[in-house]
Amino acid sequence: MKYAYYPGCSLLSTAAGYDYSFREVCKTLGIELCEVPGWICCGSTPAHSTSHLLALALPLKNLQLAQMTGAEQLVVPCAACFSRFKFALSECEKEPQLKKQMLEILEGPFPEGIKVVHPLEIFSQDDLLKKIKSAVKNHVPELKLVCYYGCLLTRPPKVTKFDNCENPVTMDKILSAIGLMPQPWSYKTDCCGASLTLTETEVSLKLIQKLIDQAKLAGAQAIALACTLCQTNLDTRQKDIEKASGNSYQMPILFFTQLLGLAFGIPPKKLGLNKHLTNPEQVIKKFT
Amino acid sequence: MAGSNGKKIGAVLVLGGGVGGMQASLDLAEAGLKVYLLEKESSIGGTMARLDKTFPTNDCSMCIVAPRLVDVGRHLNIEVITNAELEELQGEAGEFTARIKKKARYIDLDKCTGCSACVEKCPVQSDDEFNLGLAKRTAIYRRYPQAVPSAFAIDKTGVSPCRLGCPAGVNAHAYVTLIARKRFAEALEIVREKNPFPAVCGRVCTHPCETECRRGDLDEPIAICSLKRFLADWESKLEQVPKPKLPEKRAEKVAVIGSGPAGLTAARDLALKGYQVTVFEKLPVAGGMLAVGIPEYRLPKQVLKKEIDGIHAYGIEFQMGKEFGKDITIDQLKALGYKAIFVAIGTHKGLKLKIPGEDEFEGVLDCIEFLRKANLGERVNVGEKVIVIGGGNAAVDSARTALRMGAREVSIVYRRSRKEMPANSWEVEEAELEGVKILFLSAPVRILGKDGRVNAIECLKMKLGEPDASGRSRPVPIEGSNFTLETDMVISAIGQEPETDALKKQGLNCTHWNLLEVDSTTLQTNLEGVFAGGDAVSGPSTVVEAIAMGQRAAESIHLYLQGERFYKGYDERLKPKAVKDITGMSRIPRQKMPKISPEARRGNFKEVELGFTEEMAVAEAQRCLNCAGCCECLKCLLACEAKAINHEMTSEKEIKLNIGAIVLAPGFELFQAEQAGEYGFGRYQNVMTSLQFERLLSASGPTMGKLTRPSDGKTPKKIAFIQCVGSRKAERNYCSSVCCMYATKEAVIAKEHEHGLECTIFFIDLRAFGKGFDDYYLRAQQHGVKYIRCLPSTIKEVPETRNLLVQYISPNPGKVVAEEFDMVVLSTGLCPPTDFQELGKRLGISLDQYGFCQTSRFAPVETNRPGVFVCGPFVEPKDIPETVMQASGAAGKAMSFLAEQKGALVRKKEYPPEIDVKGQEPRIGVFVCHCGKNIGGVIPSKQVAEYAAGLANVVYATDKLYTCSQDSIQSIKQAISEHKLNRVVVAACSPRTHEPLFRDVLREAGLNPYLFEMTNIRDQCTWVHMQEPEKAFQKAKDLVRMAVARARLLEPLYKRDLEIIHKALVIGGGLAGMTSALELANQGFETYLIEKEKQLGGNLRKVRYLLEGEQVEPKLQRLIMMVSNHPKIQLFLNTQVKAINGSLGNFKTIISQDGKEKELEHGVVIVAVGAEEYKPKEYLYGQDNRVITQLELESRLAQGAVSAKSVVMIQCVGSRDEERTYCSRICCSEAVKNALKIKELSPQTSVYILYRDMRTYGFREKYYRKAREQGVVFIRYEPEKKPQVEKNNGQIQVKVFDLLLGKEITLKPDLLVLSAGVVSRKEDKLVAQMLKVPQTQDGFFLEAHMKLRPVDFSTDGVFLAGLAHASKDVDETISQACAASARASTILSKPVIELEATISQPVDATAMVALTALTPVRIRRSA
Repeated sequence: MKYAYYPGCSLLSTAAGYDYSFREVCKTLGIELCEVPGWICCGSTPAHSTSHLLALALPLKNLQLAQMTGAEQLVVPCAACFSRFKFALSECEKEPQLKKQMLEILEGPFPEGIKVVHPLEIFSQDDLLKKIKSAVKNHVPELKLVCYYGCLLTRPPKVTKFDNCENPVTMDKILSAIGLMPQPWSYKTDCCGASLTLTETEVSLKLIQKLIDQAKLAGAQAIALACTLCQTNLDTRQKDIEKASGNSYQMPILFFTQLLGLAFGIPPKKLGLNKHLTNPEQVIKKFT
Repeated sequence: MAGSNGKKIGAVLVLGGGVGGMQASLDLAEAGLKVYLLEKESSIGGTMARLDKTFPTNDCSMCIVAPRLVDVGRHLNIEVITNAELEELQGEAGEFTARIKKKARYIDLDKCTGCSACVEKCPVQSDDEFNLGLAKRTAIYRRYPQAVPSAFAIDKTGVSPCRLGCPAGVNAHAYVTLIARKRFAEALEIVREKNPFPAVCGRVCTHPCETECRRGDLDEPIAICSLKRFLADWESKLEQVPKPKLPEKRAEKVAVIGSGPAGLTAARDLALKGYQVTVFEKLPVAGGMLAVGIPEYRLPKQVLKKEIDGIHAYGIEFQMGKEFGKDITIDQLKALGYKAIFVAIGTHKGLKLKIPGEDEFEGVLDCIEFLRKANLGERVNVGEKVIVIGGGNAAVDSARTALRMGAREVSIVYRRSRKEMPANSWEVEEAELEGVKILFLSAPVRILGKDGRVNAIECLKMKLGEPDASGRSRPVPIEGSNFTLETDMVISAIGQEPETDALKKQGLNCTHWNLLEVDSTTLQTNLEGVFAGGDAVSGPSTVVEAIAMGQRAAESIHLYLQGERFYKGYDERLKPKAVKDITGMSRIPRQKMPKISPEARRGNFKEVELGFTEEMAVAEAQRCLNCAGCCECLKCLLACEAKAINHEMTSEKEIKLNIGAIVLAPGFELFQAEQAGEYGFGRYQNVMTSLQFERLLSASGPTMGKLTRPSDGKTPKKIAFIQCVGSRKAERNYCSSVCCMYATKEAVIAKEHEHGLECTIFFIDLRAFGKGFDDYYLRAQQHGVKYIRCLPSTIKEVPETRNLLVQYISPNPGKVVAEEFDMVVLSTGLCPPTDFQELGKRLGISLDQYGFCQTSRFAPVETNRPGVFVCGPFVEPKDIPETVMQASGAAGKAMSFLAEQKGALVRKKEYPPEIDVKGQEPRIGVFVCHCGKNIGGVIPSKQVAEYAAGLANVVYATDKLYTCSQDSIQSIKQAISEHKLNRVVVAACSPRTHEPLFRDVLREAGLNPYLFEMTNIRDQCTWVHMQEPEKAFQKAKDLVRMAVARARLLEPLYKRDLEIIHKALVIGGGLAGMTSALELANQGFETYLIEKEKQLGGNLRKVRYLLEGEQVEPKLQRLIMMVSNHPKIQLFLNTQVKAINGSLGNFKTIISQDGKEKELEHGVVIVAVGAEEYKPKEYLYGQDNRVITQLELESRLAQGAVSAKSVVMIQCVGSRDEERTYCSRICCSEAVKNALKIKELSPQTSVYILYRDMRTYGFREKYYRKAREQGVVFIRYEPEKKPQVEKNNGQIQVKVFDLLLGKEITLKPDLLVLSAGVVSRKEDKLVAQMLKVPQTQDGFFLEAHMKLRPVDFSTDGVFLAGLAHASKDVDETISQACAASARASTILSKPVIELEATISQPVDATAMVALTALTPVRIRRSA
């Protein structure tokens, strides 16, 4: 299995742990990743809030580059990038005129043959679930957690065509396969307020607090997620909500790939688990 | 009237046994056509049978539908075909051949009495589909107590995978299920049927069944093997073990060589067939490898011994220490009179390593020898450092045994990797836990020694190459990778083979693998009468494989000895595998086998696994998914005294029916609530669908009508209802028409169930458009049902309480709020039946984009295929009365089409001769009904029966759960004959619905039907005195006593035949009247059509086009022409009805045409007098010519011009106000229709529609959406703030308070259009009086029953159609008109009418005087 890989900017910076752990887990599962040569910005936020055309052209340019790897599918772990790629393809499909315009901007053939996928979609396929199950090396604790998908992966359903819009289950399936215990909860796709975290911090803090409170009520000892923005927002803001509410939080926020890595016996450091602000040690030490 | 050309077939297939299908069937059959009623479930009844109450009368749904079920079930000319689906329709209209696929019921319908004894025996608990998963039911089941047919059915979906996975065919599904019900003895019996070694297999079986277990795809397979062991352990603790039942001995003797599992299984199976069996064993112990191969820590000696002792009980002789070929030979055995020999000597010779040093040094031995010695307790000197070579179970056994015998260090050397190890993974795990080391990818090349004793072994590293014949990677040596391991004992465990020398000497052929050669089917060797099996044939294999071969050998030997030639094999293998759908199922962990700790295992042979406790076993067994439905434990056979069960039925068969026409009434499917993911159905336990909620409210539902939450069984205090789930969406652009009312009803009923319950209904528009619905809606509000006009965006579950947070915009002050409810009910919409997506194509029926049947407003019951008619929600979502009307309408169309074939294929009922009871002392039987909870929930019916038993002349009295169910009816008949009853009293519900049924029961039992008396202890007793059970009980006893007293006086009565006039009178020449007349005329009946105007057409003349755009004029003209020219129709225009006399069958009507009076004679009357548009008094109507009604606007638009720049329409003018509380149903669609027309003619014109609720029900919703898309502005107003219209400087001004803006706005239209309602005509009151039929307070004619008799009157022979009944659309009018003619036809099609035998007679002179003052009418007892 070979996939073109588009890490995007956050996987090289704030969400480095996601990049490390994703690469490690793929290696264990025999998935070949081929980083898109010369990839550029996906256009998330800066482009799509300023120019519609630019916002569409950037992902398409990356798709063109991705095609050069010879892979049939491009894996995009960052939910914001994933959303941009899906939007670009969907808009062009809907409006032939736009597609024509894009062809002019792109100076090259439209990247038809390549499919954009998210790691959750890859890992939740039946054969890979089996592989994941058999790749478990460490003892996996009876760890209760909640899977948090955020708002970007599933919405709008007609564009992202990802899992079940209101109740996605791919991450739950994957983490169940290694023996973790994802808890049912109602906030899988609620907004965490990441895009307001700098401009309207108060709003964002309220949303974060609600999510962590609800995760706790659901019995979770950790939150697993697949979005770089959610991870940063939930991981870094816990001190602030502690200050504001007086409650003590210490909720480890982990990328689902980091949990897979721990089950596969990959050393925590190789999974970027040393890069968290809310200490994930209580989760790490449970894997033996 | 029967067949002129004889080409058409006088039979109709009705597809679907719901309320529509039943109505069509009854009408058709009553009109003289043979009916086949096809139903895909095991019983008819459709959705209505699942409902609790019906609106707007709050009648119990089951109570009103049950008599109809019975009527259908008992009708002589309706053949109900259940579990059946239509596959194909060949031929042409008039002579179709329907190909039908019928699934087996596994119950003989004629034999089953519905006694339900089988239910007690069935161990399976499946989701009860009738109760929508809210309850469990057994695999043998009846969908509901009143079901017709009342016979049970078995739910079978193939053979369970576990059962197919077992080589010996042991029915794991059955015994696991029995364990779940704690029926251990029966479970063990099932195991032993195929496997005489439950204790052994429960410990050492490789359990291929678990590999197949479907639960493994969900979480982990059921621990089937451990459950089997549990059974054996359970039995071993019993004081007495039941002895096997043995058949009579046969003369033939059979010899079995070898007492391993293969030999002993064959021996036992043969003994069970009566053969005299002797087992010969070389060793001093029996059991073969079980005894000398498997170490004791896995299979304790005592356990094995007990199991083998058990086999002795089958009367088998054992001869120990007899070696085959030495002590006994084939020839000797034959000489001793053994007719057949089974050789199962196993593989007791270890294979050599074939490496240097193997035979040179002491301390090198093979595993067979090692394990045998260990098992037999012989001394073996075990070294300190033991090396075992090999990767199979024997290697692991040897390693673990060596460890227990004192070895300090044990290693296994295996040439492949872990994945390729043939040993069971769980054994390898245990070995490693105990400290055994495994060296993978290593192979021995030389054994080294010193002083004659082994001291080391030289090995070579291997790598994996290409796969070999076995599919495993071939190990390839790595040159120069040699290494040595120190050791003082080497055990080789690389394979074993049988000792074949003695066999070959006796002339038995062997294969080149040195195994016995046998016929693969019969297991016979090359020698006649000598069979072989087990490891000696297959090579080293598993216990269960050996058992399987033993079984097969026994079967084969039996056939051989009986002179049969063919071995049949297991039938189960040929049946399809059941595949359970596991989506959405929750995970339950598998029970963990308790074990002794690895430390405690050293130096002893204590059994490692401790076995399940009873609690664990039951819990584990309850994890079973019941893949196949029925587990075929066959316990039901023991319970069924009627011998009605037949598990051997072919699962599916094909039927071909010849029919002239078909009526499709497949109903609807509920929208899959999971798809509305935001509401969490399927995830949140306390979110349920409306139909589930109906079941919860129903007295016969899973909680017997107690309102409880699924999550914790607590009574909810706050319930939210969410409307439009699945309806009125972009992707399903239609309104489901029924949900607003059913939610309202559910809320009202729920509040009645639970005092203080809060019910909130979230809605968009409240669509209470049916007759009497708006009054009901108002009553609900007065009752405290809260209505919030907003559709919630999401529901969250509160983890701790499982309460639900419903998020919505509060109307006041428009804030987003999250309100907590205990329970949420989703008003799921109606979707077309999914099976028709494909079936429609096969039948050649056009469907619309959603899958509803395509019809047109002018031909609402006709499909595109001639001869195929349709009704019910499959045409468009609709309620019960509309479905019933349409069903009768479709039946009417079929009657017209097959008119000349009426009576051709029907039969008449034959009764037994009547018993003469003259002069007999009354012998009364009393039957007291529980009516589920209706009666039995308030008073003790049983005690009422006991009381009745003590009354004079009562010789038999009993109570019945449902006296009207078919099994009760059977028992009444039985009681009549057994107790020689000559009078029968039923104390139950209303004689109005049930008396005819019971009278017929009497007649069928040979009694005159009028020797029956019925008393209603429900409606006027337990229903009204629900709060005073004591008094109700007393009253019921009084009622029964009075009924018994009356019964004593009953005498036989006889019916008279009434000659009837086969002509019809239709009053009203509008759309309804014309359609009715034409349908009757087409059926061959002379019809008089009376119209007061000078021309035909009525209101339809003023309608120019329909919402869908269809032009009305051509259709109307065509209809008028057909009516005017029909030879059977006599048309009277400009005619008034002056008087109507007579009754059913013989009416005399005086009409007046142009002042001249005339008398008409006819047998039936259809009232189609219509209604008219309300003439508004409000909003300047009549004062300004810019203020007009919708009909007036329509005639202007029909001329094609709109000059107005701005048009305002006001809805509900003359409707839904104090004077007329009802909704006129059609005005919203009218307004939308005309608004769209304006937009079409003049897109620039602004159109504003001021409304209260837009009631564009059904497919009309699409046009409401279209109007919004085209810019029509909809402004809602509240009844308290009606729009204000005034003229200001010649300009019409409309002031309306906009609820969204929160302020008043002023519109200045050029044209103000009033959506005036539909009102009845005052003069039609006379018609009602002449016919003695009732009207509503609004002057509309009142039908016999709002739900089930929508075109009948309670006066026989008079029918109703069109606006005279209530406001309705064109298609609804046509359906109802066809229905009225069909209903009329059920009378006119009969040569004579049987008259009721009860006629009132004056008993004394005073009564006579009183009676002469009255018109003689038949006295009806009130219900």
